[in-house]
Amino acid sequence: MVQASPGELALLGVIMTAAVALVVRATRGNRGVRLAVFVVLVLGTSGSAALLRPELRKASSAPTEVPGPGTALGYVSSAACLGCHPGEHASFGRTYHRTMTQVASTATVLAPTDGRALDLDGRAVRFERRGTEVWATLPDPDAVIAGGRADDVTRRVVLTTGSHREQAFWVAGKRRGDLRLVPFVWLVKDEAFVPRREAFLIPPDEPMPPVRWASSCIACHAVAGEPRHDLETDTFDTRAAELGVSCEACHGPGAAHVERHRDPVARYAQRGSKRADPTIVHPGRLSPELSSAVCGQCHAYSFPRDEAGGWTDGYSRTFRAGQPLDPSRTLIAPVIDAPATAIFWPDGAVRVGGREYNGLVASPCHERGSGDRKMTCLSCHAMHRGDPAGQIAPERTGDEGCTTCHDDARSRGHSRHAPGSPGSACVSCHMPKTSYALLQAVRSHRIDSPSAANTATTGRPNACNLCHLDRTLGWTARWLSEWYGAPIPQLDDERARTAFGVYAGIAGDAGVRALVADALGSAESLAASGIGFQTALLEEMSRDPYAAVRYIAARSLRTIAASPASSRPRTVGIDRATLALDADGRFDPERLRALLAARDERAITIAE
Amino acid sequence: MSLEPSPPESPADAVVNRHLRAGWWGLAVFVALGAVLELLHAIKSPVYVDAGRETTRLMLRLAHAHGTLLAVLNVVYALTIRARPTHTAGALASAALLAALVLLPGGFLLGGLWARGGDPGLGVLLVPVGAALLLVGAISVGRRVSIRE
Repeated sequence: MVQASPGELALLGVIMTAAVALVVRATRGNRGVRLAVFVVLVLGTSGSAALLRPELRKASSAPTEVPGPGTALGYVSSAACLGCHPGEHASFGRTYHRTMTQVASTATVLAPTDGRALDLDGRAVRFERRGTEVWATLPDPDAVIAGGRADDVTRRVVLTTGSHREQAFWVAGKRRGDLRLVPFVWLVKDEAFVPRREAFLIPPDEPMPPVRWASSCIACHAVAGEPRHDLETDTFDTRAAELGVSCEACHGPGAAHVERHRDPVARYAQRGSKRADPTIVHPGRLSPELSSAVCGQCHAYSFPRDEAGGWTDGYSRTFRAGQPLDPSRTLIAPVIDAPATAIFWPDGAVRVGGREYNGLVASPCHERGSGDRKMTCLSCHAMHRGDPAGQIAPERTGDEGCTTCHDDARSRGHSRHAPGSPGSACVSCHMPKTSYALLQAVRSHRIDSPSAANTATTGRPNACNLCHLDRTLGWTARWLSEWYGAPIPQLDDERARTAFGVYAGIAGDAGVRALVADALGSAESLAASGIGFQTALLEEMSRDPYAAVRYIAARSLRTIAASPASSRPRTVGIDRATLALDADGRFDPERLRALLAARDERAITIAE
Repeated sequence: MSLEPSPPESPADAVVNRHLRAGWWGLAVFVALGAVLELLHAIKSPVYVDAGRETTRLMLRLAHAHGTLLAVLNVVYALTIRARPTHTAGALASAALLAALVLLPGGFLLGGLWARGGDPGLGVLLVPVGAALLLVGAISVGRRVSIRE
């Protein structure tokens, strides 16, 4: 049945009546013509109605569990920005920030909704479409968390999280305002479902911690989110100015700005002025510290200073873009007792991807720089330009992010690698992929230099060996010593005689193994190491106890299998013993046993 | 000043007058609609310029454009009858053009005022009817002006 308001129907009737009256008047005395025109009127209207889209006939409303409108003062949502800033609105619309949280529908759910059965310990989880709605059948999520018998329930999918690498799905829990995860996530690039517990790097015997959207995600995946958690009833009256990361997350609340610029005179006066508009925040015009804090409000490990306030209002009343982070939250630093195996490497670098602010503020380029020469997020990134995948400013996609200050780096042959090769890029050495998130290695944003000694003492892979996986740590130490005068560390026998990729891929902790599994399939390492030794190693890693390591190893195997056969087999010139391979190219069983015996078995949870 | 009654209106004159009235009043209405739309743009009214209002904006613009053009068309039709009085004042053409003047822009207007996301409101059902009548009117006038005097 078509849903129409009385006003709409009344005006429709008025216009039809007016048309009929005009026709009657124009055809007075000519009944044949009058009849013909009425036939056109009736047939045309009824024919058009018959062609109405089914969705319009039965309009689908948003799920009732979607967070309500925010109560924080001054937010108007990105919809209000379009009228004056169509270009910025469109460029923001391309980003994965915008689609970080979306109301679930067939337009926003990227996974297939064809009702296929996804096996979860013998139980079937299914996604299906009903009109434009998406529904999921799953074991009752509240019962699963309670540890009791979990009957199958079928619930409408309310929200989605993510749209770039992974997408997760939320259904209503049993308490008001509570949203619970469907136990499968969709890997966008690989076009595959994986159980959620296998999409994170957690010990195999450890259950996934229960997650609630309003407490775990709202602070960063919505604008001015307010959990409004009632401790007594454990219910939520969740609010948000806007779902996803949109204009006001970075530019601050826009109500005053919108109000002021409804006046065309004020608008044109501002466009002609070089002075900053006091009614809105422009991150590019903030001080380096405040500009970085705009990104750091989400891309940092922190917790609210006012914990009780955090459960009710989130950060919606204690922080807005343009303000320092410090009054609203405590930045987790490696000096306080955060579990080093989950968040930080022992050298203080962040292990978790997406927390780049912690790395940035610990970088000498940020700590020691000043003014225009102080590194900020905007030194490399642009929110309205460039590839949405990394949001690197087009003019900073090469070394330009660094050479604006370090302008002599290239001319003095600093990299010791062939110009234009992957090894000559600044980020290859100074931002190695030693963070981990979403089943892949991510560049560290704490700018530092490769150090074999640091790898030997902390386990954090160095940039050299993440490409030269077929070389030992000692080999790296010798070159770093010869080129840059770096100290040569003492290495135990097994490590000294084994290629880094083999040693770290088998004996490293689970986080290191995941990084190595990723690096083994990277274009940079394949160019540096050639194809030859990786297959045996990755096949062994595909039996790793951690599901995430197994998944990444399998992916790298597929990448290598698809690589051109003409790739340079560098392993020919290397002692097979270094790679722990026998004459047939298989793992030497004795060496493998020794490496497994040396494995760092600490339970690792990368706390994404 | 003569007090003599004006001569009775001929059928052709009646059609001419009807279309002149409809055309000029229609022009007034739809130009006024255009002015309202310009004002909404100038003050960046959220009901007109915000994201999510694209369908409303498109429909209201189409209502303004079609209404204005159809109003002018009705005036042109009246002048056509004046120029070629013998054959062109047909009831079919007149009824079709008058109905189209109401239905086409009216349909767009209602479709815009009650737009549902990317879909216009139910008023848009009037648009194809109005378009069909406009086509009928145009063909009818075309046929009639093709008849040699």
